[in-house]
Amino acid sequence: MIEAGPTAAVSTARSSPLSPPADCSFAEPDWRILAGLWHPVAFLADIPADRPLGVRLLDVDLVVYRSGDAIVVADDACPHRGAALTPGRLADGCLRCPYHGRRFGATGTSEDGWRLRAYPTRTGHDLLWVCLAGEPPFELPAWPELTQTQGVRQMRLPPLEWNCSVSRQVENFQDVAHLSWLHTGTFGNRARPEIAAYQLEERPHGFHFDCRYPRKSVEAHGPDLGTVEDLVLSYDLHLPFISRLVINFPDGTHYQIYNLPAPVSRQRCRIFIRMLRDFDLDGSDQPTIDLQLAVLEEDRPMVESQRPEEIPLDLTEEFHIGADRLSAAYRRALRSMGLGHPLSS
Amino acid sequence: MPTSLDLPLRPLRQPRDSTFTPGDWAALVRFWYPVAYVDEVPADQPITRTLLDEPLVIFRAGDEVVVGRDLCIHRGAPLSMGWVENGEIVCAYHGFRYNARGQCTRVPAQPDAAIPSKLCMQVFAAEIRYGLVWTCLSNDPQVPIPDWPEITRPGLHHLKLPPQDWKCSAPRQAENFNDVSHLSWLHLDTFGNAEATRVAPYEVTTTEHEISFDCPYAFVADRMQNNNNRTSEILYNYRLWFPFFTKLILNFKDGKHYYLFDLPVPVSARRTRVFMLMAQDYELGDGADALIEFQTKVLNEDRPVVESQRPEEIPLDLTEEFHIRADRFSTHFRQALKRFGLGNHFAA
Repeated sequence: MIEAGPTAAVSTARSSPLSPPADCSFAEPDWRILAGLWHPVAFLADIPADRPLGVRLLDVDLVVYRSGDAIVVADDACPHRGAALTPGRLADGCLRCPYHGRRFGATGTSEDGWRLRAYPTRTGHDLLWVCLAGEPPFELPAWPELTQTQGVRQMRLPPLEWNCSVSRQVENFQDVAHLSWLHTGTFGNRARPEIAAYQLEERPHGFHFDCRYPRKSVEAHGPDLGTVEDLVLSYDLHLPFISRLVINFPDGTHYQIYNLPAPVSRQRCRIFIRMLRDFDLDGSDQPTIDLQLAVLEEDRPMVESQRPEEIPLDLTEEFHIGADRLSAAYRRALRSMGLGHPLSS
Repeated sequence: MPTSLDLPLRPLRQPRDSTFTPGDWAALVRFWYPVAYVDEVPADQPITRTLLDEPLVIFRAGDEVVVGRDLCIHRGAPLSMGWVENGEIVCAYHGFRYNARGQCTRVPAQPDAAIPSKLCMQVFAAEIRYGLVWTCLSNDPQVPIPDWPEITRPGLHHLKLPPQDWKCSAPRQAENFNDVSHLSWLHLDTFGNAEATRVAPYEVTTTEHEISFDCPYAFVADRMQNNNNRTSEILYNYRLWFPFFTKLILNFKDGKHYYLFDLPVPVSARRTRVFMLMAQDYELGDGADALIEFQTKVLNEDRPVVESQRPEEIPLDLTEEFHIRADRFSTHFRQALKRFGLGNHFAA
């Protein structure tokens, strides 16, 4: 039985013994570790009621479809002759294989007993999460602000796809020292590139730190005011890949960004981003969304160009300055998860 | 000769996704290659070029041109995405700044902290010669930059072709340039003489740096628009400078010369950037543009064939292809490459 209940409901689909796909771009040990974790694959609102959705996670092509209240996630291959199921029709809660018409329902099983290889799913933070193997060691962070409806405006971006490794995307999101360089087109303050020392706190599943930043003042809903605003940036990283940034404005208001990337393949990631603000509650969302997209578009070309493509977990391979305290701790943490096997190529 | 670098040149590791076998890559890095025409390098912007699968950043520092690894060691950003200020390159990601010797001079996030000497951009030996920026990725080159005094002789007219990118291995391009017996077949629309298919025997000499041979060819002069006054009986002097660079002198009967310099550079195992320089000691009848157009047309006759040769790399085992007497250059070339440490099936 597969169910997609409310937040924190975990389905009980049984995974077959799993091995990496034939053309896997990850080193096999890394793939096995990453396959045992929850990864977001779609906003729930983006999963159609009347047709299946195709997504790729860790080089595995998946089909996602709704059947009644359930959401099934399975290999995008009919167990009969391996045909892709994503072109199939979804009707009456059953996905029909386009090749021979076999129908799969809410349990991923056909009337004549064929079983899709289905994966455990859970919902959380308005997203569908999938684990390809095993019991994920980490719970999702609670983040109660994301369910708040009073006193905040909740926003999200359309899912983004970047041609970079997920680890480079995460580090860039947590990086303070690049703000004055890459983001001068939006809020970055080239005149103030120095980064004050910050304390890094270890948390049960990651890290937290607060850092001051004198940003060039740009109102999400207005023009560049040409002034400097002293912000406190509060970062939370939840291992291995998800994080949030709370921007604390001097007037006591907040803007929060949730960065939820998933590894599509070794050099490609899909990024789900949610934002919320507790000011300008009657204002429009679009300027905030546009500004957030502009900021990310300042990052993307750089992150896609970094070499090596994955962050090197050997700390001697790149150079770390004081502002990279988080980065160094993050690399150690990924290493202690067992990641970082050299690729065979 | 190149200026020595203050910083020790750490040996470069072969790039992770390199298209060369480790043995071939290790042998090929020990040569000088041109990577750009000097006038391709702007005053305040870096450019990037790839040599032997290694991305390079090239920028100006005063009169010098700096060639470095296109990588900021801090977070792996390509330095070519940055800009040049006062002869130093600024990384676009975090503003790290490196001088012409590669030493980091500024870490803007912590301006008061001491900068360790090991924080540097890897810089390679670089030389400007013949209007080209030359570099060697190893500090132990097997052969110097070609010594071609003709290029700097006063009174010559100098021309160059825009760089061309060929989908072939560099030695296939070089071997084709030194191949006489194809002239009467591939080049009939330019200078080739369909009546002159027979190649007279020629002697080949291999020295420490060069392979040379001379060969007469009765080319069809009237198709070479700017050469209407040149006689068609000419002597070709071929001089290949290791590993792949050829000076070809066309000696006309009236004592005038046309010099061609063919410089194929291995971008990767099957990608070659071709620089071509030309010089003449006579007036160009139809002007420079006509000669550039003509020479480009000649190369375009070669290119589709060279790009289709299989195996893509020249087999250094001489039994693998068939050699006729006119291929004497080719056998010397292949034997020499083998002596320089290249493997059979070069890069396959």
